[in-house]
Amino acid sequence: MEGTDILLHKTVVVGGSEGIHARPATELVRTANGFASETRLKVGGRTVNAKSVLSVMSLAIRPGTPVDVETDGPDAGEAMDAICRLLSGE
Amino acid sequence: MANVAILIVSHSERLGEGLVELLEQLTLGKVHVKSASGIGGQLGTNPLQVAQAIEACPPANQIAVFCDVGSSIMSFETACDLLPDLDQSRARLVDAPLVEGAIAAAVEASLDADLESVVQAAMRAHGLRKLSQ
Repeated sequence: MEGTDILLHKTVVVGGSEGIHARPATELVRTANGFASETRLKVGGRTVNAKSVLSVMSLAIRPGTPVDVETDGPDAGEAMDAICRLLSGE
Repeated sequence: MANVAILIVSHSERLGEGLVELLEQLTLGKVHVKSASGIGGQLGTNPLQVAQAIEACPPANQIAVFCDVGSSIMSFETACDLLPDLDQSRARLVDAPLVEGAIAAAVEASLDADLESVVQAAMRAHGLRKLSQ
C-alpha cells in the first residue's frame, strides 16, 4: 500500500568493538536522514531523534548495549533495516 | 559540495585547526570547513584573516561562522565591514557553543541542508545534556 505510514519497533544489540562514537554516530544520522520516516532510538530510558547528530552522539552507546529502534513513516521498513545494520555492525 | 560552509574563529590557532580536523572527518570532506584563528602563533583573532577566509569560501555557499568568545566576535563584525555586500550577506554568526554547535552544523551541512537548518541544528546544542541521569 503506497503512501501508508508504518510504525515499526525492533531491539538491536550494538555490535563491533567501539560502540557508537562520533564517526558511526554521524553515519547513523546521515542514514536516518536519507529516509522520509522518523527514526527514534531508545537507550536506558532516553529517547532521541536519530536525525539529530548531537542527540545520537550524546547517547554514547557502548558495544553490547540493547537499543530500541522505532521507525515511523512511509519507508519505515527500509529505514529500520538500514539503521539496524549500522547498529549491529553487520 | 554542500550548500553551507563552516568557518571557525577562535583565539587559538590550534583549537581552530583541531576543530576543523574533527569536522572534516565527521563530514567525510563534503563540507568546506576552515579556521581563521590565532595571530601568527599567538592567541588572538585578526579581522583581515577572517575576511579573507570568508571570501575564500566557495561562491555558491552560505557560511555559518562559529566564534569562541569576546573579541573573536568583534573580529567577525569588523571583517564584515571590510567585505563587499555580497560576502557580508552570505556569512552568519551562529550563537551556539563552539565545539558542539560546529559539529551539529557541519553534519547538517553535509546533508545538503540550507543555512537556516544548519543554524537551527547548531542552536540545539544549547540544551544538550551529555550525561544520562
